[in-house]
Amino acid sequence: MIGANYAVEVQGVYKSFGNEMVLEDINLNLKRGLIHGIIGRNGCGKTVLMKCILGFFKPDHGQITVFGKQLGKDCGFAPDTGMIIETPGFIDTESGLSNLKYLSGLGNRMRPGMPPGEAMELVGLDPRNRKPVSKYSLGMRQRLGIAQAIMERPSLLILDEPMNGLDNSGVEDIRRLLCSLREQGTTVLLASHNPLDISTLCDTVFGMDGGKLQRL
Amino acid sequence: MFSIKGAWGCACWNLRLLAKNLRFYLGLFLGFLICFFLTQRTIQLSGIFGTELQMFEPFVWCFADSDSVLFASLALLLPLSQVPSLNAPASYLIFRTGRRSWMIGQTITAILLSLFYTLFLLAGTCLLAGKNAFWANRWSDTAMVMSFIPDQFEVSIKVARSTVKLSAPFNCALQIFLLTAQYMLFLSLVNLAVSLRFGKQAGMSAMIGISLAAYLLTPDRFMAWMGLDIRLGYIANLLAAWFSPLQHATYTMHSFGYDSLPALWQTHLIMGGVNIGLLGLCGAAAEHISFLFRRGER
Repeated sequence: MIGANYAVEVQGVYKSFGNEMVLEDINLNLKRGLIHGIIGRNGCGKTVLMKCILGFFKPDHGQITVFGKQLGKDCGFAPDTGMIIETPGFIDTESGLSNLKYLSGLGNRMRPGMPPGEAMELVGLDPRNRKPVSKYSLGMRQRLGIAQAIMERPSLLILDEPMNGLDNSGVEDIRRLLCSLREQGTTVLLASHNPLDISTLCDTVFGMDGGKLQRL
Repeated sequence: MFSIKGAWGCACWNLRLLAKNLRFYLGLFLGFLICFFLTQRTIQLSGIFGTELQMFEPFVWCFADSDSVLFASLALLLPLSQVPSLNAPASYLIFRTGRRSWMIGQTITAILLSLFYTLFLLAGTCLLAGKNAFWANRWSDTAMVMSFIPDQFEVSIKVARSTVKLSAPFNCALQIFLLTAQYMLFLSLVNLAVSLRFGKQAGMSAMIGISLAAYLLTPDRFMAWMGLDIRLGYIANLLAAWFSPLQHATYTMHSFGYDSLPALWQTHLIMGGVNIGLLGLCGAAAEHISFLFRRGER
């Protein structure tokens, strides 16, 4: 079965907002256990494509399958998936750990995730820090967003600009984390403006321009 | 499919946000202030007569009137402006629980908020009744005086005499509580349905628009506004009583057995049906939400 090799299959997807065509005939297959990169200018449609794969946007045409389940038919949102899209948001008045604990208690996953505190440590945050998220720097928020994405041990990670706001050591930490997740069999779809992230991390790279996608 | 755990989790998340939000407390403060001003006349009269009050009487005499329900509902707009939350944290919730569970969580929040706020108004008026009030299920001497000579004391108790004759305080307070809660829930669900489909600003605008329409479509104002003859007053009353949600929430605009106004059970049926219809609209709108993924929530 061909689909079993792929975490994500996107076939002939079109998406427009009003008269503006944002995605045009997108075809994309993401092999399991690899890191796939998408590069492209701001506004070229990367985030919209990711939101379509996650299930937040419904394509006008075409179909998207994640782990063999067709979005909009077999499930509403991408199953077994963690995500960070643009700037992560949390309840600003609560601590990072409290936010993660709350979110981790909501899912209906068959297999257990990791404790939220462990996820925070993996991204370089101290779970004992009771500071409210409103006092977090941009980089700390970004790390918390990544912890949120990985804490349920998803098989697919969709990360839109995950290195935004991180300092050099933060970028290194996250690169190491993504490599270790790949070794554990996690599939990652990563959008980044940083060519170094793409060249050092990604097994396959796609370029996006004017709503069209091509493998580089 | 939906998960009860997920729906309840979303509701708890919303309630936690509300509990830490200044607008929620500002709404409660305004609600209490409205209770204070509305109950003053009744409490003053109790002092003038040197008579006691039944504990629920300030609530009954004040919230049996459409303007009081309307003013109190305006204070609810402040906490309602925080529901539903449609930004980044909400996207994490909806992604984990699914649209349906999230939607049910928002509905639970709207129901709990409406009930809590109406209970708060009831508790506020009881508190204001003060130590000069009793709990027994019988009307006070103050009520008796006010209901038989209302014009002299300028208290807006249009059917006070019928109320005192036909009902006991507990039952009357319960009916007014349920009518007020139905209206608060109606506003909450309008906000939810419109916000989900067209955005938060549209939701707030819809609530303000409905409140304004309800204010203008009070029979007396409508007749004055349209320059209608006083002989048409009965028809205006009937139309408002059957078609205005605010008038449905007004105890005095119901049939006590001698006219064609809606009976209380008919209002509960109509408003219940409208609210269930709004829930359906919310469910349909939830299929088309798109999230901003940008800011956090305070």
